[in-house]
Amino acid sequence: MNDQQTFNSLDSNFFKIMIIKRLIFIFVLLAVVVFGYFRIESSKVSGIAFVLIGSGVIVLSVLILFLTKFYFRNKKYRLFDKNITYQEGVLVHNETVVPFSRIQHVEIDEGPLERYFSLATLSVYTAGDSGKDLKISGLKIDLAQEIKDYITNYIKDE
Amino acid sequence: MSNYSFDELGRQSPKGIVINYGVLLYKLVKSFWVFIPIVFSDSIDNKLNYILGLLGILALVLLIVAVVQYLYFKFKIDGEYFVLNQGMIFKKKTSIPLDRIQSVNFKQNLIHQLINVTQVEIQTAGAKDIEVSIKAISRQKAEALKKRLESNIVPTSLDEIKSEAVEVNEDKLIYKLSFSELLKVSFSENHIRSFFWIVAIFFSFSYQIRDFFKGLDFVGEAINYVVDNKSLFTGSLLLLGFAFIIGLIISIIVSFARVFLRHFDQNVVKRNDGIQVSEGLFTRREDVLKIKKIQYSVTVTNPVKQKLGIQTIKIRQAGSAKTKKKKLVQLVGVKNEFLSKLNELFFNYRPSDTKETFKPSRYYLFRMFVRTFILLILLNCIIFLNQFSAMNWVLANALIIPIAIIMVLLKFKKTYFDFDGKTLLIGSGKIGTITTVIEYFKTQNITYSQSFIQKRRGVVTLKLQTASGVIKLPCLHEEDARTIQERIVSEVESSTKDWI
Repeated sequence: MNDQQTFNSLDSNFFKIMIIKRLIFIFVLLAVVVFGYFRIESSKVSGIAFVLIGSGVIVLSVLILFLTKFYFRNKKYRLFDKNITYQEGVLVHNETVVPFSRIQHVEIDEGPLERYFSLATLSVYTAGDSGKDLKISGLKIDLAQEIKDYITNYIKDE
Repeated sequence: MSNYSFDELGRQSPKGIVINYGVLLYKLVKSFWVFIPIVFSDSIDNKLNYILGLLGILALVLLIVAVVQYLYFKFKIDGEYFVLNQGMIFKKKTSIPLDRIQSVNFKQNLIHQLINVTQVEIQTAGAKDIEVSIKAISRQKAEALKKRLESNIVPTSLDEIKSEAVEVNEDKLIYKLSFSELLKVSFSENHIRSFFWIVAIFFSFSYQIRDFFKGLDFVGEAINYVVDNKSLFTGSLLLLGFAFIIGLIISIIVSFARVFLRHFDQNVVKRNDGIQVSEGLFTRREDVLKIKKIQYSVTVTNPVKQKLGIQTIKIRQAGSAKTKKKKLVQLVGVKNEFLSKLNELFFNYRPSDTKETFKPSRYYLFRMFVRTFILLILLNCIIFLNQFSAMNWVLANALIIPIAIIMVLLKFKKTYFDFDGKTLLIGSGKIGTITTVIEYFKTQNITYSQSFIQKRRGVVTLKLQTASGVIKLPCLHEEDARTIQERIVSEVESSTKDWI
């Protein structure tokens, strides 16, 4: 179904979803600042403060959008005979290995944005504390289903 | 045993009304205790009759509730299910398949003991954890119910049937904490931690405490002084020393009380597939630990305990996050021989000479120093903002900085990761020594985590997720981390043993 030896990247459409989600976040942030500006009388808080906050938000937004590429590039998964591995993170890079023999169940979710690009999120649960132990977003829906079946079959056969 | 039949819907003992009432009153007091001082304040004197009347009515209503709770609480064993019906207005029917019952525990608090009944708690495992507690039935009936419920727990694998046939069914006492050992345990507790607790409580309730002591002029003035100056440092040395000694005495008393209440007459009984721990002075607790459910253990000791030859062992079981904290079983005053016996029982672990030891990278030391340094700066900011005299400032730093440096060095020295056969031993601690023992095939998943700073230094933190929390192996060299990761993953994948 896919290359079993190396790490696989996510579907390139997922990069668009990541950008859209970040744009929504930035939009909300900006809206709050603008709303705040008109709401609070300028006599109480000086205009300079707002300029500072506003430019701060803009710098932050540019940084977020710039880093998106790296976040996308670092998200990778690998399917082995007996385990599934997922990597992500830029500032802190995490690689989590979940052996199939510890998996309790597997779930597939599709958000509205993901459905538009026919992508899905695969969640793998173990009895560990963190609840959702491994969550791979941005897989082609068919591929997600395939991986799910692969794991489920393995668990059943045991 | 056959005197008791659970085939028909039955109520608990009528004494259960007392327990229900007690629980309701306790809940009431617990949720409204903030208002208690109001009742006793001066401004309310003329309305006292109303308030007492109101409380009387409330108490009566609660009594009725307790009776109703008792009348509508019925249970039985129906074939493969334990069935429980409760509630008058909001009816609730629970039925638990008997083979899903994990353990049946007994509990007796002071009231239970006075009226001679037992509380039975039934724990189940599953996606949704259900817990049933029957507040009050007689000890014999409780034993009968337990036998009945446990007889239906079907062994799942052939192995288990075999081992059950071989092993003697009788319970065997393997450990008992004598009174003198209990004294040793209390004496060697971490009193400094209790002391900080008391200091924290003192400051958060300082105003109430001052009001309380208003009558006693001398104490009141002393507290006034401390409260108004908001700090122990600005107090005169005499007062400081006085407060410290009083605080220490109180902390020692608190430590003794805590240990006695919880661990009095602690004993461990070995049963078929696990151990049963009973303990407590007023509230007797009986916890059943199944060996398969045990995920790992943490042994804690300190220099005083080491001199006395005792240690505390905390046993971590698989379970939902909610019940975990309450159900954490601790054996206190464990001697070395018994510890190795427990390790063998729980983890099949015997120390060998073929240990492979990993140490964290020196970067770990560096990181701890940086973090301590940041904390010290913050502390100094606080001191600065509080406008201490220069003398106090120098004194405080001269005291804290060497202690902080020694702590960091000790922690680095005591941190290690030992692979001994199928068992992983993790050392940590500062003044105390902490050893975590885990059969590493019980790992649920493993994360190889590296921040961008760690990447430059070539070090990695490994996080082992277990069914009872995360275990971190901080700042390993990259090669070591990969070796450990691969070893654990391959063990998990190849092991045929159940993790639960």
